[in-house]
Amino acid sequence: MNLPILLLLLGLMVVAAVAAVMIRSLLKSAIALAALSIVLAITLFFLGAPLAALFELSVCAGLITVIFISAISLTGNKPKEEEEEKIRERRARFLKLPIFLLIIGVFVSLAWIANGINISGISDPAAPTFQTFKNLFWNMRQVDILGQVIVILAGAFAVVVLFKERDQA
Amino acid sequence: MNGLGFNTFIYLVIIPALAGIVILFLPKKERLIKSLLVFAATLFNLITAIRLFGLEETWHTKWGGLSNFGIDFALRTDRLSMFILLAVGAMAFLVAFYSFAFLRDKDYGKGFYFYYLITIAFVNGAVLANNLVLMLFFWEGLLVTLFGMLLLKGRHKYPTAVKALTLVGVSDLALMLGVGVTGFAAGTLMMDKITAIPVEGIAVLGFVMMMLGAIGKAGSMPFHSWIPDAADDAPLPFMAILPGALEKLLGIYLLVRICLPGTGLYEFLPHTPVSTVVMAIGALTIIFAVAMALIQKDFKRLLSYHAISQVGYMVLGIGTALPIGIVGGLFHMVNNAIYKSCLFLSAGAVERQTGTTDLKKISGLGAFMPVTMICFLVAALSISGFPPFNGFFSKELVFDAAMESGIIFYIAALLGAFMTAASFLKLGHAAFFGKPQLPEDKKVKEAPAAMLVPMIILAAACILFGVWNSLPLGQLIQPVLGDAMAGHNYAGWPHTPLLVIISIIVLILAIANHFFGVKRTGKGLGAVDHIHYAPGLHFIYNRAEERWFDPYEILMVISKFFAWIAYGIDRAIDWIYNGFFVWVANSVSKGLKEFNTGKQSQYVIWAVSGLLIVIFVFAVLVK
Amino acid sequence: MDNLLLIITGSWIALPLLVILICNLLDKKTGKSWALPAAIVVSIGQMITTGLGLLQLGLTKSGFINFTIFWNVNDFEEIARSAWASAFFSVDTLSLVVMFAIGMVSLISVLTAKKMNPDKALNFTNLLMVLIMGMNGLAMVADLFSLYVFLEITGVASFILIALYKDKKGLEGSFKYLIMSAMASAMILAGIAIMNAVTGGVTFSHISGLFASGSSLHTFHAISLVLLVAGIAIKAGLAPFHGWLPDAYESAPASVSVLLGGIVTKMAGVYAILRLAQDVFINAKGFNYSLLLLATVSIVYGAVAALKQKDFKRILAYSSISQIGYIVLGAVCGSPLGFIGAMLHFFNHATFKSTLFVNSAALESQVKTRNIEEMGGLAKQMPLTGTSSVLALLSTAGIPPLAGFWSKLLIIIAVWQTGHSLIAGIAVFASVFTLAYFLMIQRKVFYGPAEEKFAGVREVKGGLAVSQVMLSVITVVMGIIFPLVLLFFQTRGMI
Repeated sequence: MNLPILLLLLGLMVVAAVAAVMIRSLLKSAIALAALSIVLAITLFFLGAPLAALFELSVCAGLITVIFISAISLTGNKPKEEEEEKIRERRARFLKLPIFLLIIGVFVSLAWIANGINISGISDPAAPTFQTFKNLFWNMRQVDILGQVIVILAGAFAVVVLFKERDQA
Repeated sequence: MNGLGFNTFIYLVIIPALAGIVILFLPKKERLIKSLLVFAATLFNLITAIRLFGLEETWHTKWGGLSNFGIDFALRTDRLSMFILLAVGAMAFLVAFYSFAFLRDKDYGKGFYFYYLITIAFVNGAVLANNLVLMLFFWEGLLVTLFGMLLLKGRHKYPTAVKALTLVGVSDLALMLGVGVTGFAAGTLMMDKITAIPVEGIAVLGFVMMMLGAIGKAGSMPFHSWIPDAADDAPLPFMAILPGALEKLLGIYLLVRICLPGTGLYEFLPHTPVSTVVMAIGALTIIFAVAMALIQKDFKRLLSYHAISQVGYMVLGIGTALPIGIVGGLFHMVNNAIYKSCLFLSAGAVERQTGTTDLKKISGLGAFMPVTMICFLVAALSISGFPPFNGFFSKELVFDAAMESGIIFYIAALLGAFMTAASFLKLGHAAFFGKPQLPEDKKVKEAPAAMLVPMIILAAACILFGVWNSLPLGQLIQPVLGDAMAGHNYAGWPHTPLLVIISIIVLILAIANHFFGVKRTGKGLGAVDHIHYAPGLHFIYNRAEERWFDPYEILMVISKFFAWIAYGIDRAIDWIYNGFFVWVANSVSKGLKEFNTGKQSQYVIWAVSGLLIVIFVFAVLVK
Repeated sequence: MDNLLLIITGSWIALPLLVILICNLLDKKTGKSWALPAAIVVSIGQMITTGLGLLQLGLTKSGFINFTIFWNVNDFEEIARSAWASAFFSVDTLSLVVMFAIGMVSLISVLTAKKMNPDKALNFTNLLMVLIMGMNGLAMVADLFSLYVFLEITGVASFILIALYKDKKGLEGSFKYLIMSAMASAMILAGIAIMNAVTGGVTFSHISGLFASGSSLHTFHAISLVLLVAGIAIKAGLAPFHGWLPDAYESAPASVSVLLGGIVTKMAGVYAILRLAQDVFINAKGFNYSLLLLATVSIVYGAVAALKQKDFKRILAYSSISQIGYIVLGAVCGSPLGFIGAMLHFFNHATFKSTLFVNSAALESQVKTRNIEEMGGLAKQMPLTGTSSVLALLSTAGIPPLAGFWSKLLIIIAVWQTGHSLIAGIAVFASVFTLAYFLMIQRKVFYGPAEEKFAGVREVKGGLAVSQVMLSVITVVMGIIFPLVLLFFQTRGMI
């Protein structure tokens, strides 16, 4: 696995994470978090932990997002002005955070590379090997796939019930 | 025996019972049909009893699973039961005849006839039964009819009915236990197979319990105290037939069954402790009941105490276990049934014609009701033991036996005789002689013929059985004892002149006492006041009138005490369940409810505490 | 036969999916008007197919049926043996019994929901279908992680259902449920993760093989078990993890509280415990003991806390906590008899608790209150509701010959036999207590002095009446034929 792709993925993760914290709409924030999870899952897969990747995908990209959406939809909306005031405050507080994270990340990466640690070699030799991602995903965990489908349906209905109708009302 | 077998036996039970049930379904207004039905049933009963006389047979069938326990449907007649059946039949017929007139304008007639016929059926059944359990069945059935009859006059008679039910029930319970023990000791429940079980070990219990059952039914102490109350509360024919006649017949029947020398259920010998116990019960019953009778100021109540005291003579006589005593007891039983019924019937006639039996309100009735008075006098002289009436002869036999068994019993019996005579002198004087005094209107007439006829028949029987005492003794009573008579014949004039002289002296003393009392107070009713209000006795009498000596009241006090303790325990338990637990549960629940505030953070705290519990469980188990 | 089996097994997921597709893809009006009838068809279909499935199990004498849902995999056997595979569903008697209950309670719920306006009806049906799929999946999985996934589906669908009307109370109850559920999810997920890390697999067969009987627990096993037990206990509503349960039940719409009280929380928590206790942690002692303790606490707590409640639904919620305790007690006491008792009590509980929630709905619709203090003498006006609630309450309290008596009896016998006599005693005592407060409700609500203001109250008609009759009949018949049911399990060799 080549380093540039890994770094790219890590960068994407940082961007997604920052977006999740900074975005003013809670719903979009949740979706950003889901994006973060997807990137993380891909990273895990490339690093040789397909099962972990799969679970990450199921749990974080699927379930947690739906739960977040439900939770957000259940909470009442604050008045617009108050909300904006809050967000402004938060933005001021966390403005330095991405830069801080980025610097730390770069330093850590450089330190690893400088010490000659082979990132691809970290993977556990005892971990099971699967012929293909396809086999793992579509055959061995097909029940979870079904679960994902239903979870997405549930999320969709949650949005329908809790957002759409509220807008109508 | 030419068609007289089982069929005839069983009809004695079935026909009266059936007639009774038919009456229950007849409309209330059909008075004539009911009367005819009762008349026919009792007449049938009497005729069958007469036809059965002389028949000695046993009949028995086995049925299903019950036979395994020895409970067969077994009947038999022998000399004793024939004799009792005959007496029952005669008394039942006469009282039924009487009650047609007495009950004419009473609205509880239907219920009375129903219970009456069922009672006769049960009495016949109990006398006929050869199996102890079968007998017990009929015996207990009588308890139900007794209770029903006592309630005839309405719900407000409940206390008396319950009292009777309790006392008779206790004695029945004793009988039940006795039957069980007897069956256990003998190995069978068939009475004709049980003879002379030695009274030792467990059999003592069986004997005592059966004996208590028998005398309890007869109305002896300590099961007597419901009878005076019933005299106030029950219809008069009831008094005449049940405490007056049938119960005595049945109770003494069983007592004789138990005690009969040679063929009785238990080996009952003279001069043994059990014999002394039975005699003591008899003697005490005589003394206390007659002493209470002496001071009564009500016709019926006075008679009812005599109904108790006379049982004492029978129990005393049979308790001696001597042939003469048993013959005397049985003879006294028959005589008592006759004159006591006659007395109750005359009381009924008085009650019906004057509307009261309170002796303070009536006197000098003899002028208006001469026939009633004569019948009463005959019966009263009989019960007091004046020769040549029947009571004199049977009493003399009992005196003879008591003298032989112990002078103390003789003295007790003699004292009883004195007070009996005194009380009847007072009663007769107060009710029928002296200045005529009536409750309200002066138009008192003689009782109707339907009431007089039975009274006259009974009074005639008093004289007949006295003058011609070899008829009942020779034909009915002495055959019962059979070989135990050892060639004796007690018929005719009493065999011991000394005792006769003493008895006559006692009677003269009673008359003297009466005149002393009348002179002292100036009226018949006050004839025994000097005894009633004598120093010492007065106190005891007052207590007795306040029912201090009533075993039922004592029982009630004791049971109230136990009930109070049990109530306390029950309350305590109830409090623990209903009060304490509910209080705890409510307060805990209330606490929980207040705890459950709906705050999310609190729920989380609980969940964390739960987590700690789980961790604790695992921590303990992993180590 | 194989084709039939394929149809039967497939229908458990395919039928609800099909309904969702049809109702949402058709034009709006048709979709809305078809929604509830379609849901009824699905529920009845599920009852029929699970019945056929039980028949099939009985015929083949095999303990379970394995099947894949999308497509057959070629090396099925090899994958089945893998410690990570979750390629197929597996149904056994327990699954079928609970799935029958799912069908039954769903049917009742739809019947109760009959009066909903069409917009709501469509949303309700959609969510109900998701819920049914979630619960069916839950009943069929053979893998810890998949179990978690379906738990979450069930959870999400029920959050939204509770808040269906978006009134303040519903949103609040839903939110409380969501928060507690999220805690539970986190614990369960962490437990599964640790389990996976230390045992190297997540399938039931793999994990159960590692818990040999009598062996002492590894520390990480213990940590994993603690997290799983706590998480599932929250889902099940065992005291003291129950805080959300009364609020959620109380705040849900009538038809949803039938679902919640009758089946959803039981599936999410109690079924998981039954399944894990039977198939996975049968030899893991800490698992059994801790749940035994929690179950006993629940039985007592539920019984006592119900006493002071005024709201009919809250009383039922606390009674549920108590009944859940009984089921868990039977499940973890470690004897096959107790397990059968727990399974049947699960079913019986679904029956009588649904009845009671339907009663509550009937009362609410006719009397316009759920406060039992305000009611009185309603049996005259509402004979059907009165009678069915008496039957259900007596069944709950365990009065013979109703169904609840038998299953409770089995559980208590089993608990006694396995040596937990103290707990059995407490269970009996609590049962008497249950009877006491239920009789109190009876007297108050149905047989007390008639209140004048309720003179105009009439008996319910339609769906509510039908459900009351149906459930009462099931309660009584189940009680009467119970020996036959036991015989069935005996011939299956389960006792």
